[in-house]
Amino acid sequence: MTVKVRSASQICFACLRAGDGVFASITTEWRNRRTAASALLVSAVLAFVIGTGVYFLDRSWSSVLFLAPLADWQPGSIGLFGQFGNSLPSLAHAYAFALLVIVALGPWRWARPAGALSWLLVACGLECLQSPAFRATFAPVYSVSANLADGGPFFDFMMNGRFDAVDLAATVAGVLAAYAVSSVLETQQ
Amino acid sequence: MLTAMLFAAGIATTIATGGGGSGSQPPPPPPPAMLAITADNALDVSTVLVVGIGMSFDIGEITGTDVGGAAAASPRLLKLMRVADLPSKPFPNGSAKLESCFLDGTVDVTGTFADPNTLTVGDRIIAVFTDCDDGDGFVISGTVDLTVSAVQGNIMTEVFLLGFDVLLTDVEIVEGTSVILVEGEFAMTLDSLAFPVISQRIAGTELSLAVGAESINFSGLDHFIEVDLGLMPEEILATVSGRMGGDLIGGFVDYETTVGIQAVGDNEPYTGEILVTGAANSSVRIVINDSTSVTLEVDTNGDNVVDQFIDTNWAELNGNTSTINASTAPVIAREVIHAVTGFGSVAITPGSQFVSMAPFGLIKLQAVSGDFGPTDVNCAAAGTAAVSGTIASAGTFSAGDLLTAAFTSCARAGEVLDGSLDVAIATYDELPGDAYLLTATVTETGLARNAGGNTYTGDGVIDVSHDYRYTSQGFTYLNATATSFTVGQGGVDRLLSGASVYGEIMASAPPVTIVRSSSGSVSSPAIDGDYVYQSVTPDTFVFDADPATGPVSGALQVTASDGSILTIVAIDDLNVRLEVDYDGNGFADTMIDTTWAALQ
Repeated sequence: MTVKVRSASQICFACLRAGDGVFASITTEWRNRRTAASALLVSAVLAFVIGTGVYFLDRSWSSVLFLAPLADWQPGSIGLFGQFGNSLPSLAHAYAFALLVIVALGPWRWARPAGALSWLLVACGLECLQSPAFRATFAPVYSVSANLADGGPFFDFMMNGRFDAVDLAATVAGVLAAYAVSSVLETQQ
Repeated sequence: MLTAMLFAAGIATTIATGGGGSGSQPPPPPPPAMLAITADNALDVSTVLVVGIGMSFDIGEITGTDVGGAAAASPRLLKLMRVADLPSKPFPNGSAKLESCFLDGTVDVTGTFADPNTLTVGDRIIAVFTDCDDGDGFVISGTVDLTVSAVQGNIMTEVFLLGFDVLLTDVEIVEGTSVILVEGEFAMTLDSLAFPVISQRIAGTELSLAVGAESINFSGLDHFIEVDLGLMPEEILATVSGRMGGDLIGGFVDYETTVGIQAVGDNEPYTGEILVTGAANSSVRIVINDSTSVTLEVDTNGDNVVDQFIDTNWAELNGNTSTINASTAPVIAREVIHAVTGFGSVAITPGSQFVSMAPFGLIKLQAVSGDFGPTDVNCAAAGTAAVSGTIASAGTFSAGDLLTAAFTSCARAGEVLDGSLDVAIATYDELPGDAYLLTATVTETGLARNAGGNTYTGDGVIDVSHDYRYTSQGFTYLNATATSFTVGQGGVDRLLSGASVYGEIMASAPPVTIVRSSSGSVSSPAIDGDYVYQSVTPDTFVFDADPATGPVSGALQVTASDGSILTIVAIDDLNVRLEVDYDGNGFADTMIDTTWAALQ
């Protein structure tokens, strides 16, 4: 059967006319995808919340930019996450954002590797900027080019952050986890 | 678009949280509590405070200017920032300059200047030091970030005021065997508007000093020092206040000068009081009696009544706990002897390389000029020396010539050399007959000299004057000084401060005889604290290849911080007597007869 489409507005109708089987397949796939994407979004948000919880519950608020204004009201660290709290935010953040990027890249066939790899590069790059070698190279150039009296938050991030190989490993683990979990997108296709 | 927004959000949240990780640091401990001051910890608290305050002024000196000396006209700050010559080398905005430090290492300077010809409020200078050694006695690494907050007067004159917001990040200062890690954020003001009265103020949020695993943290600090250079010796006034904590004392205390601290010249302060307050208003008042003694008035229950007086002295408060007794005297004697002999051994080396059969002398005979080398020259007996440098005039040396020699088993006249030395010639007066007078600044880097059956290594900078003019038949003369120098022997490094040696060397006929006077102070891993040494009678040393022998005559006095004294008296080339004066009253309490071999 040949379907002739005379205008874009007719595409949907053309599909309908093309046969209920094709339409049903597309809508089922779309529904599955949406369900899978929703599940992934929920898991990303959960990871983000857990990571944020570490800052609220275990960290000194004064050392965290977004909590520093509230530092005077910090009730005290409860140490809920213990040693895991050291690198859990790195892992959760990498997992959440790698997943979100993968989902955002949508049905593109390379969404998983591209999303995971691109976030891996960004997250690892940011961590490496806190290492003395990178910091010595980039911080002065950045701060001068930015021409901010106090260097700004990015300068503070580089200068006051502490590079840690364990955080780097947690970042890699988070991205790999996102890559693995996002396979649900493909299995649902 | 959605993806781009996600990336932006991801990066923003990473920055907002400081990078996610905590650097594998455990969750921050609860804030340290205020320390209760007791009779037991009052001395420790006072010692940590005095040492910490001293270090804070040192940091200011390193970052800023040497207010204790006559360097107001050339602030070290400007020297360090390499902008002392701003007018001659305008500094393009945002540009980075990587420069070599005077002796070793680099400094990468980036600047933003409203006016490239001078400093203006808002200008910013960021210097990233990498093992930078400017010959000031310390090596610095890390980032110094300065934003100009105030400028008055002309910084190129002696009369100016400079204000800086200072951010120190991962700054490491290595001075001899001491390594200090510094983090800090404070405002610094250098004021010489009332020259010759100059001052430095460090006031700000925090200053953290760490030596090894131990740290001192200052917060809300305001440390001020004023020096009147118009008086000789100069008069110094200091006031301090703030809060000090750190794992060295296990809590925090507040401190404040209640009577200004005053000192003269390089001496310890002679008057002043610091009130240190801890938990429940407990306190210790540091009362300076004179430039030697200090009394601690301890109020343990906060009722403003002194519960205990503790008599101490500046040496103890400065953390110098050296003492000499019968059991420590042999070890101290050994360390001092190695320091003195080693410094003399490596100090004599540079000047002797200019005789005609030595590497620099051979280069002179080759009539080299301009930049040259490295050129391998054969040493007189065995081995080689790779010589390079810059010589202005062929066939001689002159001020400004730079010479470097890297020795490889270079043997001559009873010595074997390895390692390297750099010589910056200040003066070179040449006379006929292989005779000369040399003055130079010498940098020795792992220079090992084997002579007389012992091998000493030298690391550091020495100012030498070596007189080879034979004004007295057969004699040459050596004068050498070093602010800070390391002598190695037997796997042990001895750190010398303010070291000097004067030697008369009679080498015209064997055996070589050396008459030597020494002074300085020494510390080493084998002994606690610093020991000051001074020749009472010059050593007379008849040179042979037997390490079991020593000077045939002479006396060297060693003084510990508690005033105890050790006098090392040479009996003959084999025997030596150690006279120990516990209380420093001039009378020996114990005498130990031993041998030079036993002190090796």
